[in-house]
Amino acid sequence: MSKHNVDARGCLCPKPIIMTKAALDAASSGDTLIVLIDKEESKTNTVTFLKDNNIPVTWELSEGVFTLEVHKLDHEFTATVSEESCPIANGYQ
Amino acid sequence: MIDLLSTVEYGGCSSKLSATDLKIVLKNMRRVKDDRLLVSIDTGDDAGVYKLTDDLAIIQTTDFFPPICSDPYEFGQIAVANAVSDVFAMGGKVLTALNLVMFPKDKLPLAALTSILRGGADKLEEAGGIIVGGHTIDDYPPKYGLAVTGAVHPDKVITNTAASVGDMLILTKPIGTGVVVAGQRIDNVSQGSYKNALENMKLLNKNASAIMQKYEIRAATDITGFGLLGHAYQMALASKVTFRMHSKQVPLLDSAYELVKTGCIPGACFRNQEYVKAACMFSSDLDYNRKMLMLDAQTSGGLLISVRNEVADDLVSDLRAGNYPSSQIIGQVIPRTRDQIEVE
Repeated sequence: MSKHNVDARGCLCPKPIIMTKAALDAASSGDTLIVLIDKEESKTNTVTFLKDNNIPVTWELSEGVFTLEVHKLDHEFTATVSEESCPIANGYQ
Repeated sequence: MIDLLSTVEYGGCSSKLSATDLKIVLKNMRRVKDDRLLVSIDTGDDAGVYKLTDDLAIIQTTDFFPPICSDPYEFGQIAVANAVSDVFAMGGKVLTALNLVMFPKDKLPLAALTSILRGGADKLEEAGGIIVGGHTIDDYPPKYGLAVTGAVHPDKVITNTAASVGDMLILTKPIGTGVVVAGQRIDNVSQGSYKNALENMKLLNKNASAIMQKYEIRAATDITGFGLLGHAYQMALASKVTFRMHSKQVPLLDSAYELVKTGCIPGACFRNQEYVKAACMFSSDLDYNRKMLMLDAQTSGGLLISVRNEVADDLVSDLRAGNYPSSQIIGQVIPRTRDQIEVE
């Protein structure tokens, strides 16, 4: 149950997704990824990618940087995620 | 050495406004009724067609975009192959074209623009057309394309409205140009795969158009920025039918699948997904990577042809022999269901 950091600030699309995917593949089930992204479209695409694959993600925006919290599940790409765990009500999606 | 790809995050047809945004804007455009206007913006077709006489109609279309590759000459070739593609998709011949140029004179040497225009003129000559003028604006990043005029017999216009139930759907080029170019930008693709993608984008749809006309095709479109599924959706919608598409039959560019598997998914895939998702039914066991490739924005993509079942195999054989070796039946036209597109 460890935490891994992915710093995708300054990276052009689709690099943030590639970095997130690589970190997820390397993580163990129950681990958490903290992904930093500084472009809104990259954040939106990365969140969509994770949601499409049923990987739980929450995010927040602070001082121009999006911080995504991603949870590696037992069965990656097969688990389900509830809408409540994706707080997209901040008006940024 | 000039690397045009370093000037852009998204190049080629990946830079288009999303189809969703475009729909909102076009909804508010005043519609013109004119009996001579054979194909208008109403059906989201490849180009406009205007009847001049009983045996002559003109096709008008334009495309321009930021760099899709590093080399200026190749960028010119690809931009033109892409711009004239709409004429070929509608069964027409290319006549004349105007250069559309946006170029940052303080950031790039003029020699780059000379190369872009030379590549464009060479490709247009191959397409059967001639450059008759153009327009330039100082702008960054650079953009290049054409406004094209073509000709077609008014009774032989191939549109996206005439796909018939029972037809087979044929795709003439492999998909994945957006993904492979994104891979090139982050130095994640072999030079062989990148070159192969460039050659596919340079390949004109001219011969494919001539071949399909021998089969009296009435419905076709070319695959560009809205991806295979976006353009298939527009065609199914305009034809009032449903397309059932077989993802495993769709030809892919070398390395495209492997790149998507690593997460190399350009933003245009997500924009196109947003556009089609309400009208698409994806089977529960559909491979996510194949789905995203079917949503990948294509630059100078192939033709999607709706053809009678009885001659579909013959058409595929002719296309494969005619410089389109990846041609493949990728689906069929079925009666309209709840969704315009079903993907298995």
